[in-house]
Parts: sequence; structure tokens; C-alpha cells
Amino acid sequence: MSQQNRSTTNLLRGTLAIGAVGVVAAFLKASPERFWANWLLWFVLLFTVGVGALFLVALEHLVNAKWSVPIRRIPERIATLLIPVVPIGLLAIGALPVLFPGTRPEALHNKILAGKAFWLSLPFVSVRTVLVMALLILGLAVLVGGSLKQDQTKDPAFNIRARKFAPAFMAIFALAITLVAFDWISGLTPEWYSDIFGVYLFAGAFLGGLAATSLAVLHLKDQDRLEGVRKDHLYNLGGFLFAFTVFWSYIGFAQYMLMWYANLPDEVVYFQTRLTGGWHVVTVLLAFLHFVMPFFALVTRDAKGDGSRLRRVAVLMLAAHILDIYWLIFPILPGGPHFSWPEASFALLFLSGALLWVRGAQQKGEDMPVGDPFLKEGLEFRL
Amino acid sequence: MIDKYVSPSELKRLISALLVVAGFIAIMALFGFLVVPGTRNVNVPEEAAAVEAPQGETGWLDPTDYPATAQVVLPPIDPRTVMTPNPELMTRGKAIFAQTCATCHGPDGKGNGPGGAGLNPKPRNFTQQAGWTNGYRIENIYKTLDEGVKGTGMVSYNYLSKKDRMALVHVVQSLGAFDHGPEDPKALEALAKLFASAGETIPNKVPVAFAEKRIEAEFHPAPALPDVSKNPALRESVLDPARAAQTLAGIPRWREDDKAFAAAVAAGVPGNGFAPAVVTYAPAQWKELQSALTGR
Amino acid sequence: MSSGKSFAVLGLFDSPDALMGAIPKVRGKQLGTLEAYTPYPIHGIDDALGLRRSPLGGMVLVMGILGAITAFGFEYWISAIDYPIVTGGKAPSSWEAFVPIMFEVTVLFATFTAGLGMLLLLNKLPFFGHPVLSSDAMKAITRDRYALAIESEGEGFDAEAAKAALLAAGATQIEVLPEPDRGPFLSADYILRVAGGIFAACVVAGLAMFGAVKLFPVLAPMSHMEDQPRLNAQKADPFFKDGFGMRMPVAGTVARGYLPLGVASQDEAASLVNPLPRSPEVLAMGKKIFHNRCELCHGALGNGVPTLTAAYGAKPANLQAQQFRDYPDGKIFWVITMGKNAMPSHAADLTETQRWAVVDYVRALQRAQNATDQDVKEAGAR
Repeated sequence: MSQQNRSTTNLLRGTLAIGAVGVVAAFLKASPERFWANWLLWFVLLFTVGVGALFLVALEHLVNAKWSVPIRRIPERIATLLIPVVPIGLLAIGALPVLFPGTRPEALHNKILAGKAFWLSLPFVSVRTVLVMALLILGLAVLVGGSLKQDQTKDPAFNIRARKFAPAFMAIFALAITLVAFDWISGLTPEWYSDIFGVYLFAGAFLGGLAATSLAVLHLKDQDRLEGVRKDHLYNLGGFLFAFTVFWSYIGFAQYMLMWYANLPDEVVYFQTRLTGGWHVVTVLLAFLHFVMPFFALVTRDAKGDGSRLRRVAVLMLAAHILDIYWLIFPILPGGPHFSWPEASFALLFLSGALLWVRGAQQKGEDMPVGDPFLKEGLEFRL
Repeated sequence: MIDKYVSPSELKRLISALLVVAGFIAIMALFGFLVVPGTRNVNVPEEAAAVEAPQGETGWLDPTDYPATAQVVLPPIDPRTVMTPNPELMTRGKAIFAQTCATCHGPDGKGNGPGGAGLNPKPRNFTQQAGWTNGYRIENIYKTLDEGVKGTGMVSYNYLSKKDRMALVHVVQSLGAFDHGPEDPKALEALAKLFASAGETIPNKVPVAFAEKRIEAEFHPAPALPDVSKNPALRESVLDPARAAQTLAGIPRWREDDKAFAAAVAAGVPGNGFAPAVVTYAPAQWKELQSALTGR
Repeated sequence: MSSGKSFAVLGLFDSPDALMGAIPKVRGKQLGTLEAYTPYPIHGIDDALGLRRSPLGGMVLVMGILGAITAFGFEYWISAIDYPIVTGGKAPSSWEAFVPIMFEVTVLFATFTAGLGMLLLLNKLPFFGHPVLSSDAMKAITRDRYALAIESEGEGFDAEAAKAALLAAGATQIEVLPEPDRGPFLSADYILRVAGGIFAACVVAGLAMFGAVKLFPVLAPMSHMEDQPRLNAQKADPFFKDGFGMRMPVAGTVARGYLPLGVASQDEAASLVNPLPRSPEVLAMGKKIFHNRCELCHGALGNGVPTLTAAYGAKPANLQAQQFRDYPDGKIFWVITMGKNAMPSHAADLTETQRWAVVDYVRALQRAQNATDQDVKEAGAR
């Protein structure tokens, strides 16, 4: 490990410590609603980035893609974020009685909530979350663990196994992302519902995973650890990123427009809170950062294969994804959007924690899946 | 056979030229059959307009465009010719009855005409003795025709000439088979005096287009309101300043009497230029609006 | 028709690698424009041939943005300017409702630009006279051979040198191609074929449709839309207790932009004020409406001389009568709005402005039939 790397690690440890102190202070001083909203934000964020990266891996196995074999190890490493997400998610159960009206006893007096009382109850939500986490860890073990093992064994049977497992994983993935969307975000306002909400979170999650992957690929490429990964591979990553900004905005706008048109009181309250009282600024900013800017930054052919531009767009995309989750969760707190020391310390703790984890994961296995028989074909990939 | 005279390529060219010509002819035919006949009918010959064919209700092609005529005063009628029925009078009366009265009172005066079905109270049944509002003697029926019966569908028919009204009186009496009572010589004498005193006046008439010009010229636009955009009270209450000004000009004493002002303005929103919201105003708001409009 | 001059020299190669290897060798000699013909796209060949970047992407972007602007302009003009209408309680200029159309038109413009721009504008198709199409090598090119052509750029084309260069680069077969046939595109032959093709398609489609309808007379596409449980206006419907299909609005409903008349009787209506100026426009409007709606019963001069009246069981008022001349404007307006006796209400058909305009025209009619002496003098009585 070089001197610079070590100093970066030390810096991250420092910010981690500061963040941890801030988070403890927030637990003691700030209101429990605010504390748990922050906790939920980082739980959902790390979950979506990890699961988005894992989805990219599974997608490759599912369609037997060759171009992405040389860079597959990167999303595999990012997907290991799901391991720290398990304790974070289990702790988030503490947020249930605080933030989620469906778990409180007075929900039984509400006609709508009484009908879904069991579904929204604390035990069932916890069981579901644990189940989903377990299934995802299983998927991680099969896809990522098997791939790491293949580095030594060079056994092509893994490719066949992974390809057979990938469809099953897709079902798990769909279940997991939908349940997280409905339980942990939609559940904050249980009288409001949107059928497409799971798809909306999926679009954001895939973009988050993709942006993190692109960023890590470019980072390793700068260190010459990904020899043979070329513009063509970057172009595909950029193309994905470009396409899914449109997908995200399509889903987001479709959800908005239908509710705007129907103007039903129980539906429109969701956008009512997000278009008034200071939140409208965040909404416009989100549309701008999550769609307009990345769309026009990546629209030309050169931009998609251009490493420096792709890096900037990936950073932007991750920031926009954080803003997206913030926009989903924080409007339940009264008094408009707020950002202050509790939010900052949470960001410090979880961002540096996630970076440290990913940096640690970078040491796992080879930088490329050297045991994969398709690696050569992937390296030869030309547009 | 044919390729002795033309080569295949020439034949193709000929046929394609033929197709183009046929298509052209088809389009022209479409025009000829469908479009041209329509255009022909638009052109009305010029001389047709010049003919002053007497038709329509005023005897002129455009019933509202007749020559102006000064008023004519007809000489008074001789009362003796109308006080008692005579055949000429009855014929005329029956024609007017069929035209004017029968739709409500029915052809036989039984009060069962189709036009009366929806009226409340129902039209008078002339064949029965009971219930006549003004009575059934000559002077009573004449009074009804002259003034109408207030609160019912029976309006005044004083636009009919006196002679026509008397003809109707006799027709109405003839429809009821009961005794119409002893005559009141005093009342009859008064009627006869009335008939002898003045003749009918046929009023001045001018073409409608000319009348339009006259009433346009006589119209004085109302004085403009204070600038609406500057005063927030007015901006909320006034939709159309021009109309509002016109409305106010038509409300007597609106500056002085705030109750009358409020009632008259609220009755006509929003067509009168005021916003619908004014109907919910409290008296204090009305006063505020009133003072804002007077420019005080 | 070919003039006998050679236009291009075609060299065939056995593998894509041989072709890719030959390109730099031939390209260096600068004998003419290089063009490759292969059965499938080969990675990197556009860079090797030195082809310039296609402008299609830029065209598509510009046209896509243009499509979005066009759609927005159309929608905005229709919904907010030309015929503003409140739908679902939304403002006529709501941009949210325009977005789906904008999206579709953007896609339409972009795809049409991409497809037609590529084929017609950039590739200059259709061009059936291209010599490669009628070359002997054509069959091989479309199957398993890879061709490199050196095409003439003008007068100084040296076919022999091109031949030699291609052979030196490893071509297995050489073919010299004649000048392309740049005959007129719309030849008689072409017109005949197209017209015949369209005619044949019509005949086939017509016969097929005829047969389908004959054989499957009850074949109803999208029967769900035909059978949907809908209510026709003014039809009975057993669903509701009173048996009426049409429903009354909820009690107290007030239509947007309308208020019920604030007076309860005709006498009270005397206080209503005509808010319109007596301008030529207002009188023209009143005249038109009177002509269309009132004249049939009240007569062209409003004197109740009937056109339909007796036969239809109504005795319309003589608007020239003294009592109606003495009416204030508001009372006439009230009658038009509420109806009177056998006269129906016209409130549903005429706006408040139109009703006031009719009142003004009735005033003009009354003035025409009961003019002042001054009027007659000025009009020039006979």
C-alpha cells in the first residue's frame, strides 16, 4: 500500500470518528424522528447502491454478457456493501415505532390503516426485512463468493451455475427492492401508495450502483490496475448511465403526472408536501441534478467514452441519488428541508464508512475475474 | 403482334403516360362533378337584388328594411258601429280570436288551448259564468283587453285597435251561452265617448338599421372608474371595469345608498363586470368597495 | 448507362483480418476514395478507412429538441390560447399535461430524422445503379468475402495502379467496375411497378377484407369497447332508482364562471342594469341572435306577428306593445333568462352578454316601430 493510500485511509478513519461522535450526539440531543430519518436515509442509500451493483453483476450472468467480464470484479466488490447494510438495517427497526404510523397502536383507529394493520405491524416488517436481507446475502454469496473462488479454481462451471442462478436472483432482487421501497419509504406515509414506487426506487438504485461502479472502474484504471479495460468498456457504462437517467425521470414523472391529474386527496398529498414549503426547491433541484445535467452531459457519443467526463457525471449521479433518497424520506419531518450538524455527521460517518469498506474490499481477490473463461473475449470487446 | 410496332420499353412508357393522364382526368372530373356545381350556386345574379319584391311581413324582402313613414292619425270610429255585434264585426273578431286568443283560450273559448296548458292560473273558460276576474259585461271584457290581468299570462292587448278589441268583446260574449247580465248604460256611454274622442295613431316608423344608429348615437358611455389596477380592493372585486362602470351608471343613488348599491351589484354578477366573490361580502366590505369606486 | 470508363476497382479478401490489414497499405497510396463492402459490420473499420464522423447524431438531437418545442407550442396554443378549456380542474396552460405529447413528438421527430436522414440524406438512397450491385463479386460479398474498393474521385483515376495496389495488399480477386448508372430515378418502369404494386396491394387487401367479413361476419375486433356499459344521454337506466340515465348535479352546484341570477322575480329584475355599451358590435350580435332564436315566434320586428305561432299553440308577446316598451332592460333580460309562460329559458344557450345584446336589439326594434318625429325627419319619410 502506497504512502498516499495510507494517508487517505487515515483521513477517512478520522472523518469516521468525527461522524461517529456526531451521530452519538444526535442520538442524545436531536429529536428521535430526526435521528431515525437520518439513519433510514443511509440505510436505504447504502442498500440501493449495494443492491444496484449486485443487480449489474446478476444482469451480466443473466444475459451472458462478455464485455463486462473484465470490470465485473468492481461491482462485485461494491455489492459487498450489503454486508454492513445488514446491521444498519436491523438497527433501523428502531425507527419503526418512531417514524412509521402503521406500527403505532393508534393506527387501529384509522380505517385505512386498520385494514393493513398486520402488514404494517412491527414484527411483520422486521421479519420481512430480515428475510430479504438473508436472501440478498445468499445471492451475494453465490454470485460474488463463487466468483472470488473462481480466481483460484479457474473452474468454468461457476459461469454455468451463476447463469442458472441469475433468473432466481432477479426474482429475489425484485422482491427485495419492492419490499424496501414499500416498507421503509412508502411506509412512512402508509395512507399514500403508488404501484410504481418499487420501480422508481429500482431506477434510482441501478443508477446509484452504476455510478459507483463507473467511479471505481475509473479510479482503478488510473492506478493501472485494470489493464486492457478501454474506452469501449467505459462507453457501455456511460451508455447505461445515460439511458437510465431517462428511465428514472420517465418513472418519476409518470408517477407525478398521474397523481397530479387525478388529484385524489390521499394520493396528491405526497407531491403536495414535496412541492410546497421549501421542498419545491429540492424537487426542481433533483429533476435538474438527476436528469437534466447527466442527460445533457452524456448525450454526445464522445462523452460516454470520455473517462474524465464520466467520472464527473458519476459523482454527480451519486450526489443526486443521495438527494433523491433525502427527498423521499425527509419531507415527513415538519418544517421544510433542513440540513445541519446531525445530517452532516451522519453523512461523514456513513460516507467514510462506506468508502473504507469499499477500499478494504478492493483488496479482495484479483482486480479482474482471472478465472473466468470469457475474460479474454471481454478484453477484446470493441464497439 | 403489338411489339412489331412498339418496343416493350416504349410500350411501358406509353402506358405510364396513359396512367398519368388518366389520373389527371380523374382529378379534373372530381372537380367538375363535385366542386364546380357548388361554386355556381354562390353567384346570385345582380339584377335579382334590385327587384323590390313585396313579401314577408312588412312587405319587403328584408322585413326590417322598409321605408320610413311619418305617423298617421286615423279619424275616430263611430261608436254605433261597434257597441252592438254586427256580421262584419263578428267576422273580423273571429279571425282575430283564432289568431290571438285561441292558442290559450281554445278555439271554442273553453280555456283549453294548447298554449294555456302550462299557464297558472289557467286561461278563462268563456263558456262558464263563474269566476271572471273583471266580470263579463262588455265594459269589463274591454277593460281586461285594455289592461290585462296582473299576475297572470293575460297581458294587455291595447296594441289592437279599439274596433278590433270591441270585435273581440262580442266574440267572447257570443262564446258563452249564459246571460251576460243587464247592461250598464253609464259604462257603455263612457266607452262610446272614449271611442268618439280620439282615433288610432299609427306611430312613426323608421328602418331598423336607422333606429340602431339613432340609439347608438343617443348612448352615452358611463364615466370611467378609478384605475382598478392600483387599488387592491377594486382589483379583487372588479372583473371588467368598462362593464362595471356601465352597471354603476344604471344604479340610481349608488353613491349615497350602500344597501341599494350592494343589492344591485350582487344581483348581476358576474355579467355586470363585478367578480362573483362580491356576493359573499360583509357590509363593511361593501362600504369599502363603494368608497373605492367613488374614488374617495 | 455506363460510358465504358472504369469507376472503381474491387479487391476481394478472404477474411476480415486480411481486409483490415490491407486497408492501411492501400490507403497510403491515395489512389481514390476507399470503400469496404462486408457481409457484416467489422469493428474499427470506420477508423481504419478514415471515415468522417456521421452528422446524424447532431441532426437527431436538434430535431428531437425541435420536436419537443413543436409539441409544446402546439399544445400550448391549442389548450391555452385558441380554445382554453378547464379539464379536470387544471389550468389550461398546465405544462404537466403536455409532457406525454412532447415525449411522443420528440421520439417521432428523432426517429424520422434518424431513419430518413440516414437513408435519403446521408446515404443518398435509393440508388439502384450502383456498380457494386451488379458486380460479379456481389454474391460473395453478401456471403463470406470482404471487399475493398478504390473508387474514382474524378478524371485522373488510374485503374491499373489501383489493381496493382490491391493485389499487393493481398486481394485474392480483382474486378474493375464501370461507371454507375445515374439514370433518372423516376423512370417509366419504376412508376409502372409502383403503381402496379399499389394496385395489386389494394386488390389483395380488398379481397382479403371482403373474404374476412364474409367468412367471419361476427368477427368484432376490440369487442370490449363496443360492449362497454355506458350511458347515453337522455336514456333510461335501471341502475338508478328514479330510472333516469342522466343525473342531476349535486344540489347547490354552480358551474364555473356562472352564478344564478341574483333576483327572484321579474319585478325584482327591474333593478338589473344592462352593462353593455350600445355599440354597433353589440347591436350586430343582438340582431344575429334575435334572427336565429327569437324571430321565428316574435317576428322579425318583434310585433308578435307569427310565423309558426298559432299552429304551434303559442301566442308570443308583441314586443312593440306599450307595456313592453315601458319595461326596464332588466325585465326583458329576466324573461330571456328564465322564460315566461310558454316561452322557454334561453339561459343554457346564450351567455349573459348575448342576452343583454338581444335586449339592446329589442330596443332598436321598438325604436324603429315607434320612432320620434326627429327620426322620421332625418330618415326622410316618403
